[in-house]
Amino acid sequence: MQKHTKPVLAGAPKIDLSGMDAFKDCLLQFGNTPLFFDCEEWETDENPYRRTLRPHVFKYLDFSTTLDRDELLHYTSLTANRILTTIYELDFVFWPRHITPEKLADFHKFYSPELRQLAAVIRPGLERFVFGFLESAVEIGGPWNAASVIALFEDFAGRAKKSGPLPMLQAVRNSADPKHALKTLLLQLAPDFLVESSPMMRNVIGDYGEMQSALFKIVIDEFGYGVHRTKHSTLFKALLTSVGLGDDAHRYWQFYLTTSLMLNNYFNMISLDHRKFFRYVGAIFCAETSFIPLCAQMAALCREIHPDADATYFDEHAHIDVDHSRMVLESLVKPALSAGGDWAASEILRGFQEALLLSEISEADIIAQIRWSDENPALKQLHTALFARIESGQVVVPMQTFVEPRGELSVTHVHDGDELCHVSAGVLRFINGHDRYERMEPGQGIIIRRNRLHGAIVETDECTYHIYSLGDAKACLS
Amino acid sequence: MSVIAFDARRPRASRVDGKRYALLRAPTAAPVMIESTCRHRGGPLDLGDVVCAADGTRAVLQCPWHQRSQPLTTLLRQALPTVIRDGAHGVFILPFETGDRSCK
Repeated sequence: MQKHTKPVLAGAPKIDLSGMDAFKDCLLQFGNTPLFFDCEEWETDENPYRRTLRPHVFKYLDFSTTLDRDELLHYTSLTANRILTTIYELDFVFWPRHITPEKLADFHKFYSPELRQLAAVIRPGLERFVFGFLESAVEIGGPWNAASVIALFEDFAGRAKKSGPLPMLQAVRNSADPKHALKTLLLQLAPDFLVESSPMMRNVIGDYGEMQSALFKIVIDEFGYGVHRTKHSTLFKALLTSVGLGDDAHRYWQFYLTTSLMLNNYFNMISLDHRKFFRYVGAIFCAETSFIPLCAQMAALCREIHPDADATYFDEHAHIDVDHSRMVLESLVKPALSAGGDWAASEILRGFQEALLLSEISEADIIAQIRWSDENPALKQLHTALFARIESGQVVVPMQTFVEPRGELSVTHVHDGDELCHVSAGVLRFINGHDRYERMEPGQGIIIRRNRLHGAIVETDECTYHIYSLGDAKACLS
Repeated sequence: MSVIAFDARRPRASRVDGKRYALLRAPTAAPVMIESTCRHRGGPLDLGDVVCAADGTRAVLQCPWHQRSQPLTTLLRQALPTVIRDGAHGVFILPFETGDRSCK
């Protein structure tokens, strides 16, 4: 056994890469990459290296603390999660269907050593900022051991088999526009499903005994045994095209909700940091088991709403995840519990609960976005009453005016409080989802609910509009 | 073993198969489920108070009936495996089978 009894480089200078000064400088430099600048289109056409991050706002954002539970949907969180997804995917190989000299230049820039170095410095700070809340959101007490964790997991698997209609799918079914709602839901699954199991692959490498081979067996299924047409991401692409959506990676980058990215980022985070391997074991049990009822119901929902939908992806998962759930429990969870003792029990339990919580948060966000999209015509009507109150002086709130030229695209974002948009000249198209919008002429406007993802584009040579920061629209109307 | 779900936002007393359980929130540890019956005369510990022991050396849970107290360290050692997600969704594990799967 090798032993180091004294420092190899006594007196060597200590470089602080975890301090906020280094973080801020590197973040700004990371954002100063043209790949991440604002764009002029809602969809990114076959260029997985281009991901708008609204980097001009970075300097105003504070990532030095951790998000509170009630701040997860704030703008800073959206930004942090967009950056984190980009950073994690520097490890994944993307190659567009059609290459051009411009895309090749983007390819080289995206995978450049400079970008990776900057990413390495800012990633831990962003992870702390986004996921720090989990430490207190999951409270573990008492003498957890292998037997109690297994009892909990077997109970969870039993309940999953008897699961009733899932609220997220009911929200799609009950939407005023179920076809659009279904697309909204599918788009939220795309960050994960289009690169399916890539985070998992981070755990397949190394040398850790039989658990490694057990995990690899699941990977083999996910990758379709090397037959491209049966690879799960290929099946998901077929589903997207069958309902009229594009199938290239991150075409709909701007329409990913904060918590859809967050859930996906979580699996990358615990897979990249191998100290969290045991959390990953718990989290993947949660995912594989939850997928059984989700995918069975999704297959039925897709066919119900879109008779032409190719729902093979969900059929396959509803079937294979029965095996995967059992395989994870028997060949990963139980051996990991034996290998790591009570410490492992606590870690596996934590990963399971954290993944469950982030799934619940993501589902609630998707439901809220679907309902808000439906609510937009009513919110446009409500503008009239609220704007009258502002004009009469009954409501006094801060206001900003924007004058923008034709085609000016406001990249999708969220606000931390309710806002009122009022158009005084020209025409503004207010985007409340992919391919869904309200057109606003002079004198018209809309109430924008806090935390809801939206964007806008100018349709006339020029448009003047005003944003009133309401905070709480209900209070302003009462 | 039995997996028992509970709502951690509700008042502390819970009942499974006629037995009382309470969520103990000690200042320096994660909340845990404990048997809520005082070993003296069966008083409801969930209605007790966490106070400083008479000798000032430790925190104790005091039964509301006869003010008998038990050290928190002892109660924490005897606690059941408990996990609470998002301040609401609680689960604890009983070391035996029960037909009653949720708290009342």
